[in-house]
This record gives sequence, C-alpha cells and structure tokens, in this order.
Amino acid sequence: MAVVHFSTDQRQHTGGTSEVTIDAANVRELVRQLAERYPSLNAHLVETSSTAVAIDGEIIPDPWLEALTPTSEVHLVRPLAGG
Amino acid sequence: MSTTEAPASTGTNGNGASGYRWVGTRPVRHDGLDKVAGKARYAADLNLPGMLYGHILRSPHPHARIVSIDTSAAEAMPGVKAVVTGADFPEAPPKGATRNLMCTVIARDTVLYSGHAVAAVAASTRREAKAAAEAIEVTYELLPHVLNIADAMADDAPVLHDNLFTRGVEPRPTEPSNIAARTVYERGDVEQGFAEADIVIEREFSTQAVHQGYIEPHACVVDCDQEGKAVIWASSQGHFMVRSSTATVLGWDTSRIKVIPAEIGGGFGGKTTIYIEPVAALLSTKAGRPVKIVMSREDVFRATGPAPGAIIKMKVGARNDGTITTAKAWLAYENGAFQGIAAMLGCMCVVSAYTLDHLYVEGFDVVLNRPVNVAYRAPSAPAAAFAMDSVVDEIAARVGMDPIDLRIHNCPSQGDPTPYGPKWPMIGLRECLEAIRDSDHYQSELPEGQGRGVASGFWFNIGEAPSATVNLNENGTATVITGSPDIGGSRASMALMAAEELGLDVHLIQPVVGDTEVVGFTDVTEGSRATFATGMAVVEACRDLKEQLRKRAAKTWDCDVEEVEWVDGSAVHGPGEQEPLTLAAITGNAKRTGGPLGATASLNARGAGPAFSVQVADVSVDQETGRVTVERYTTAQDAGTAIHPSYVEGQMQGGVVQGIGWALNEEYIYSDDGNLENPGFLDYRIPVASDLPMIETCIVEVPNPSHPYGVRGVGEVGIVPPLPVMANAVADATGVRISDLPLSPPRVLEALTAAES
Amino acid sequence: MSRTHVNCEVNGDAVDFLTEDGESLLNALRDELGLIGAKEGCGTGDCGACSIIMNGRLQCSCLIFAPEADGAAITTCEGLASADELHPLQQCFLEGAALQCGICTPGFLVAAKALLDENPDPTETEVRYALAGNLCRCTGYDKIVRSVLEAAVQIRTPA
Repeated sequence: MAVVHFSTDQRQHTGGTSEVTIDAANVRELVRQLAERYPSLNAHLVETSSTAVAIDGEIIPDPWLEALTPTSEVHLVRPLAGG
Repeated sequence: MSTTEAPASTGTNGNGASGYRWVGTRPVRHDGLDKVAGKARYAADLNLPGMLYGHILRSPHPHARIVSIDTSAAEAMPGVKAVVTGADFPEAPPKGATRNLMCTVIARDTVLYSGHAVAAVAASTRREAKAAAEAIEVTYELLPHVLNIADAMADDAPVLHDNLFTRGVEPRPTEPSNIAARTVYERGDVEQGFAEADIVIEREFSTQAVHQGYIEPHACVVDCDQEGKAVIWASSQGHFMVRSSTATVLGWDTSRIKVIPAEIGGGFGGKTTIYIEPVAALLSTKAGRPVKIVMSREDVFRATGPAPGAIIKMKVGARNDGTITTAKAWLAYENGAFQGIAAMLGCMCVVSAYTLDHLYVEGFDVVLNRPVNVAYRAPSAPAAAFAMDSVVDEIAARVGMDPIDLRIHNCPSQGDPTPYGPKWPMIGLRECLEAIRDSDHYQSELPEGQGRGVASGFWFNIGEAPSATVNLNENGTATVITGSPDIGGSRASMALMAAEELGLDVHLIQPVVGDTEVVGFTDVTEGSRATFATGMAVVEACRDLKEQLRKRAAKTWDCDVEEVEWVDGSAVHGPGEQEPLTLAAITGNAKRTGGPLGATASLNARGAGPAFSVQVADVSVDQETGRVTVERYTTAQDAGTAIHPSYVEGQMQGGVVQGIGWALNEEYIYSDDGNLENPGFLDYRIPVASDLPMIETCIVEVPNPSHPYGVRGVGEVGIVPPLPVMANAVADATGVRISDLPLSPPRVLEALTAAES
Repeated sequence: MSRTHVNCEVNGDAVDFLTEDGESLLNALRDELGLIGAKEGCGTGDCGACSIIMNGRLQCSCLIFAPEADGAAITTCEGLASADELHPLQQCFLEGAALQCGICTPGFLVAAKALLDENPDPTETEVRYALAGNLCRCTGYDKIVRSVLEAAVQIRTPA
C-alpha cells in the first residue's frame, strides 16, 4: 500500500488526479497496477525515462523490488545525473 | 574560522571530536608520490610498440548535410594505415539517447555543430595523421543554423531534428521544433501567493555556456586484436561507462572490451561520456595496430560538452516580515545538438533552498547548433541559483533584513516538501547558513569601498552501483580494489574507511582502482558519489572480513566464534583466556585456518544525502575598467562526515573557483557563422592564482544517516552559489545589479556607465 | 624524412635523441626520452602543464622546438627529487593536499622551483603572480599557494 503523487505532467495521464492510493507490496507491483489503471501513463513514464521513484523523499534509481508500506509516499521521477 | 593561515579549515571534523581513529584525519594520499614525481600515467602517457596516431577531421560548419566524403587522397598519403567515416559505424536508431551518443562520436548524414567529428585517420606519426585527415574531401550542403535559445525557440527557427516534437505539451505538437521538452512543477496557487505578498520582484537573467576546463584533454590508446578483442586505456570518470558506451557505438558485445583506467586529469562531469574511444577502436581494427588519439585543446572546446547557457525569468513575492510566499520561474536551457535534461534539473533546483507555499516552475530544454551538453558539477543548478538568489538579495534589501537571516527564515527542514514533490530527508542548509552567519568573515566589518554578497546552493547527490574487493595480505596489510576512478583523492578516502573498519593503520592499506576485468561493475564517478557509494561497498567488504577474521581466531583458539570480538585491529577473546591475535597474526596463519582472506561487495547505494552550500564574498570593482576583484571568500558546505578533510576542503575550494570563473569571465563566444571564437585558454580565461584570495572553508557536518560514516558527498554543490554571490557582491559594491553573466570588465563597465547616465 | 640529432643535459644526465625539425621539445621529452611528467594541456603556452626549466629559465616546453634544446641544460619534474628524498616542494604538496587530479602538478612544481630559486622568501602575492601561468582547475589554488609558502620556509630553515 502506498500513496502515489503525480506531477503536473503526469496528471495529463491520470485524468487530473494528483494522488492515488495503491495496494502494492513493492514498486514493481505498484507500476503494474498504475499501468492498468492509467494506460497512457506508462508510455509517458517510459518516454520521459521516469524509471526512478522517490519513496518518502529518497530518490531510488532502480526500485523494482523496493518494499512499500501503507504510509509510503511515492513520486515517479527520472533518475538524476550529476557531475 | 581560519583566515589565511593553514590549516584552511574549521568545522566540526578534522579535530578528532568524531571519535574515529582514522576517519577525519589527513594522511598523505597513497597515489601522491607518483603524482608529484611525474610518474603517474594519464591517458596520453602510454605508448605501445607499433602504435599509430589517430586524428579526427571535424566539421567547420555548424549545420550542414554531408553530401559526400572522399577519402581516396587521404588513403594514399604517406604513413596512413586506416581511414574511417560515419559509414563505417553501425546505423544509429532514429532517436533517443543511443542515437545521441552514436552521432556525437561521429556524424552520419548531418553535422550539427562546428567541431562535429566527420572522419578519422590513423597514421605512423601525428603529423602524417593530421595531414591525411585534412586531405579528406567532404562536400557539405550548408543548412541554416541557430546558436542561442531565443533564435532556436522562434516559430520560424531552422529545425535541427525533424522528428523532435516537444514533450510535455498537450496536445502534442504536430510540427517538429527545437524545443525538446517542457517540464512543470507546481504547488499551491501562485496568483494567491502574489496577492498575499507585500513585495513582488520580477527579473530576467542570462548565463553563458562554459566548459568544465579539465587540464587533461580527452585521450585514449586502443589495441584491437585479430580475435576482435579490444583493450582500451583511457581516462574517464568511469571505465565501465567507457566499456558500455564504446560497445553501444560499435554494436559490439561488452565482453569484447577491456578498459584499463588511466589516471584522470580532471573531469568535473565532462568525462562522464565518451568521444574518441570507438573511433580509435575502429581505426585499430582496420589497421591491426594500437591507435592513440589525443584531442587538442581546441577540439576539447569545440567538440566536448560544455555546461549550458540559460535564460531564466523569475517573479518572487514576499511579505514585509521576510517570508517568501511564492515564486514563478520560467527557465530555458541550451541542450546543444541533442536533447538533454538541463532545464528539468534547473526546474528541480531553482527554488530548492526555500520553503514556498506557492510555486510554478516551467522549463524548456532547447536544442541548437552547439556541442551537446555534458554534466558540469551540479549540472543546471548554478544558473538557477543565480536567478533565485539574486532576487532574494533584492528582497532582503527591500524589507531591510539581513540576507542570511532572511534565508534562515525561509529555510526548509526535514519533512518539508521539495519543489519537485518528495519531502526533504535530513539536510544541513540551516547549519550552513548559521556557519556563515557566525563566521569571522561575515562578522567582520566590510572594508571601505568593497561590496559583500551571500548566496546558497543546492544539489541532489546520487548513489548508484559500486563494487569493491578487499584482500588481506599474508603480512597483515590490505589491498582495497574499487571501480571508481580517483579524480581527487578518493583512494585516500577508501583507505581511511577501510582503516577505520579493520583497525589497521591507513598506511598499511593499498587502495587500487581496478580495471573492468578485476573488479565488479561500478557506475560513473558523478553526482558526488565515489566516497559515498563506493565507500559503502568498501565498508561492507571490510565488515564481511571482520566476521571472517573472528572465525579464524575462533578456529585458532578452538573456541566458539561468539567468544571473539574484533577490537582495534585485533581478535580479542571475550572470556580473556587468550592473548589477542593481531590481524597480521591471523593472515600470517591463514592457510592453516581456511585459506587467504578476501571479501567483495557489490550493491546499490541507497540514501544519497542532498547537499547545500552557503558562501560569502567581498569584492572590489574598478570603476575605470569594470574589473571585479575577489578580496575575500568563505564557503560553508554540508559534507555529512568529512572522511579526509583536506580533500573535502579541496572539493569545496575548487568548486567555488570554478563558480567564480563562470560568474566573472568564462563564456563560449560564437561568431555569426557558428564557429567558436575562443577555443583556447588564452581567450577562454579560467581563473589563475593571481586572480584569487585564499578560499576559506567551513566544513559543516550533518551526518547522512544512510551511510555508515555519515558521508553526504562533497564534489558538486560548491559551484552553485558563486554565481549569485558574485552578482550580489558587485551589486552591493556598485549599487548596480547586473543580471547577465559573466560579470566581465566590459559588461560591468557598460552597466556602471549606463547607471551613471 | 630527415631527423636532427640533439645533445643536451636533462636532470643532470647527458642525453641525446633524434627529432623531426618541427617537433616540440615537449613531445621529444615525452616520446623520445620517456619523461612523461611534463603534460600537454593546451599546446599553446597557456596552461603551464609542460613547464620545464631550460638554462635557468622557466619555459613552456610545448613552445620550444626540440632542436632548440641542443646544448641546453633542462630540469623537469622528474629531476626535483634526490635518490632518497623528495624536494621540499614535492613533500609540501603531498602534506598540504595541493593536488587533486594531479595533471597540473609537475608543471606547478617546476614553476614553483623556478620562483624559489630566484626568490627564496616570496610573499603570498608573489607566489600567486609567479604561478599565474600555470592553470589548475581542481584546487582553486589555495592549497598550492600554501604549500609553496611552506616549502619556502623549509628550504630557508632546514631542519
């Protein structure tokens, strides 16, 4: 279970919804459910390379098996680069 | 605070207060002797028997279609052993990051910037290679070009890529343009925020493209054999990246490529990608001989990644009590010839040092006929901070509040939302602001005729994947092998963390940067991650070893392992019936107790801690020439924990001075016909010793709870504040606020003259 | 292609090499003599990474044709240390963390030696101006200047 927050860009694919609660044990399951609920969101995430998530403030670049708790706050973001 | 006497640092570390024996001390770095003796081997320092020299022919035009390339004359030249053009490389996909990499290494149908690689020659001598490259006949059909953001965004602009449609705009545009992407972050209601504000300030800013300016030009030697294997000696920020990128460009399997990391002569983000390795590999394959390519300084400027120029419009509202209520920002960043994420990063950083109820940040990534951007220390953050912190300075003056107090008043803390969505973890911005407020420098009276400026800066820091192998040798010493190139002292920090874990003298530890076949995969040294992430792998391997050492002691004593503790480098028998066994005693006996001792750790480093820096400078401005002189400079930065304080200070000081260069002097200057007019260190002037004072440092240590020693990463954020610091100091000194960088003498003089009249 | 035979003294040793007339002394030192301490950062005399002392003068070896070295006495970074001891400048650079990537370090050491040979007790400002022809992108020069000042003290007052 986790609360997913959508950015302004992503809301164009969620019918304007800014957050949704998803019953998922990990990020892989969460992404699968999001794709079912918002079919065009997945393509948007792939196109924008938004393959990372922030869980409770920490940006995780490869989050596939990351566990979620009922209070987890999730943002779908792009992995960062740096110097 | 220190002034100009060594040691240069105060702060909470370097004084033993941490309780660590090794972490926080300042030993001589392990690779230091080779580097002061002139023995260290950088990429251009290797010569192999039979080696050829490669030379790359580059486009003299900023935008043109390649009609034909005739290499016949070149192939007939003396000494020439191989010639390649884009046609010799695999076809690039129609779009995406892979295309961008492949087409940056060598142009296919179209050249997109002056300096774009078109063809290459390998010959017996440098001069033969150069002469032959110049004999290649390329027929170009010139296309109209765009060199700056405004022109590139115009409706009638010549379009670089006919399959680039702006992302982030609904409905999706049906016409291609140079606007690659639009990014928006918003919270609250900015109009309500402006309505609640007593003061609203609206300004427009511009910054220019600058180069990372590493002193070592890109260089490599590649030796391909008849079985199709390639050995690459190259300097880079990550040799596993060199392997994968070279494989991608050539369409090879990575197992064909071994990359041996040379010492790296500076990178700052600029060596997180490749330019020449696949070209040398193909030349070597064709010639059957090793090939060396060394870029000239001119080529480094013309063809490797600058940091982007930007245009930023800020509108910020505040109440009379100093509370910033709202900010609206419009940012456009140059991406160079291919799409990047510069504006997106700028959007994430622009107001990150402030807590805002209402914000609307909109960014545009723009392609144009310049070399493609590459990261430069906290990419995109300096221009963003320049805009926001210049406006914040005006707000402080308008409400009559000390600029540090105003920043503390608006400072985010753990749990507050970031502008890009997630909440802040534990951060040290407030501590940095307080460190500067309490510094000797800030408390000192400003000398007559000078101006003082302050600003803050933010950067993410990242973790990614490291690997480390730690082997204990039979004499009780340790070898620490990691996959992170040592770009500024990381060998020493790896050794210090291993010393702390194992209880071993740091000088008994040999830190090694392993090639792609001796150590596990390790991501690029970027995002201030080497000491943070690779350090975690070192610590994990050492902890594994400590368990092994305890077991070996238990076997030696024929007791239960639970009775053995590891204390200060020795196994200690809890019940006290045995004399302690030193690490050397156990390794010396290792064959009898189960064989040699070694451990490897590979992981995904989690929990990189965001970094903040706050800085103050005093400047004087020559009213007759417009020259800005930095009289005094102090920087505070949250390092988490400083593993080797001298090299933490070094990162802080180096970042500051690069930022000063960006603020005061450095800029890419293009002619109307699209050629870089200052591709050398004479005309592209980076700061020199006589331009600067000492850079006083204050290491703030708010430990990162995700790292075993609290490391946060120190490499990048130091470059962020100097841009607004300089602008704010010049405004304080002259009463004139300049919003276009650099603050070079002609520009400052022009602004002073305009203000007078 | 005709090559010129050059005889000179490098770091106290009599050496000779063959070179093309248009070749730089920097390339000759590196490729013919294997002295890789001097680096090419720019090839135009702007960065100082190729600094050497030739006949008592600080020079950019990238701006000198190799045949011009005939008969000359040359000191490179490799010639600073004795068999059993580093030069005080080298030791102070190590202890003062005056290098990060290290590519500019040999040039700085040679330039600093040229300064201290002329002026054993320089002020901070004199050090900064004497080293203004050497570019360092890593350190911001702070620790380099401190280390040169410290080495000057050590050379003036041997332990």
